Amino acid sequence: MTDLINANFMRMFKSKYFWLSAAATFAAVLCSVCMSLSFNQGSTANWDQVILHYFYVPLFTSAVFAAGFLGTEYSDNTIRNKLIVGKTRPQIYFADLAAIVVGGLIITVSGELAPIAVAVYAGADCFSMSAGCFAAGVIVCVCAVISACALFTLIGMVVAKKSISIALTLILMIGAYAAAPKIREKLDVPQFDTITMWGEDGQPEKVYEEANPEAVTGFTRTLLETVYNVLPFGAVEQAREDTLARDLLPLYSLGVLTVTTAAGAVIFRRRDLK
Amino acid sequence: MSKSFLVCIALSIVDALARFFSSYINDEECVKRLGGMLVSGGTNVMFIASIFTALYLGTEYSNGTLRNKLVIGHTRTAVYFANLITVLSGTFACAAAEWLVTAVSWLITGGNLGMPADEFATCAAVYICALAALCAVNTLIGMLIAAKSSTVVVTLVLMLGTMMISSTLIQLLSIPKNTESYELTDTGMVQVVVSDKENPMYIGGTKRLVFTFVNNVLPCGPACWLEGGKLPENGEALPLFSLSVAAVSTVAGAVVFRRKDLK
Repeated sequence: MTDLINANFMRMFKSKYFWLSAAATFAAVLCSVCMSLSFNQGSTANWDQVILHYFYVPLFTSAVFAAGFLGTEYSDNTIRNKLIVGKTRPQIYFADLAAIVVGGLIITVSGELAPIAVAVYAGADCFSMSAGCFAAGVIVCVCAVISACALFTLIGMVVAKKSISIALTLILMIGAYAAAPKIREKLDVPQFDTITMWGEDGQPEKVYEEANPEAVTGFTRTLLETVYNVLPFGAVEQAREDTLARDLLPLYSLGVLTVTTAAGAVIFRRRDLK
Repeated sequence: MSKSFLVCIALSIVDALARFFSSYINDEECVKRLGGMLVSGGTNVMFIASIFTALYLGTEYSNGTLRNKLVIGHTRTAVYFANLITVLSGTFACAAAEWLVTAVSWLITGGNLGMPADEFATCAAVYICALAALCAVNTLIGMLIAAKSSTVVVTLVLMLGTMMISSTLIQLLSIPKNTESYELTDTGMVQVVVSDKENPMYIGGTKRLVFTFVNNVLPCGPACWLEGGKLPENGEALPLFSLSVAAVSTVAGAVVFRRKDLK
């Protein structure tokens, strides 16, 4: 399997999808950081927050890289060649997964270089998180990227047509990107409304709480929380919050990685490669 | 009937139903704002139409259809315009499916337009012209890039990028000119008070003109304005920008396609 992984890495470093995705990630994050700095007069940027925020960009570009890279496996008949020389289907799947995960992480690093470079250039010393908290946030984001890469591998290995695979991964990512803030909005509705009765002197006389009918509770809340934690964009958004829920997010990512990889390997094993 | 076209029609219907249910669950009164709801889904339709265009035009190259059309004697200009018309029809079919499902869902629940008819007509014109501009740009990309997968990547990434730029520009242009503060009234209600003090974040002068122009010429710009369910100030001029973009990209596309080496 080592030779398969080595071959994949060699192909990855020659792939135009890989280099274009890495360059696009760096350029997009750099433009976005510079734009937001110029509009905020560069004064109040907390660089740890900025670095964690931009982990969402590589999720899109990695999708294009993964679909393009794996689509080429089919279109160039590389998969068939690998099978002919005696490699098993699970070996091929896991070697491709390794290449996509490593590629996704390199693309992520290329994106994160942009805010770090701007921070160093601007001589920024504004940080709002402790080192441990920041490291935990980075781990959450890296796990989210890995889980997303596992999902891209599943799609790329199951869908043979490169163009369909690219469209599908991008639709999925855009859907997840649009869904995450909507779920968050629902979860953020307070469970209780604070009612204040005002006295004649204009001072609060009585303050009491009553259940908010708009709030999501019970099973629906648990379901929405799970979906939000499973979505890579949900994990990236929560990475900046110092909470216990944030620390559990890598477990959700690990769950996604396990389920998608197992499902992908099983489907790919039974797949008719024609 | 192309498979990608049917999938995109199905996506439009699913999107319209999802938008209806998510709005209705949040606020049952939203059925009284059908007009705003119809025109606010432009960006979703644009995204779906981009997928259709990229897959449809990509197949023209990969299946050799383009070469066959030229072999039997059609001119390149005729092929380009025929494809543009097909893409326009497909895109408007997606929009029509979305509008039909939205309108039927709304009318069943007893909704009404919720805005003056002339305002709705203007919004609809902005919506249609924005779709036409997007079709022209997507056709330009699809006819000039031979590799289907590259067409899909370029079209979708461009769509996503321009949508993000447009949202940022609209957010910046919406910053109020004067500062606002919140005051608590005697009854405990929060009241917005607009002061005479100028907002330092307000974007004015040449910068405002440039931002407005850039947003108006982006194919998604007018659709992003309509996401709020209403037109911006001087929104009546938006169709002119969209039609100009459509004209320029069609002429450019036809000229470049005429000289393109089709191998």
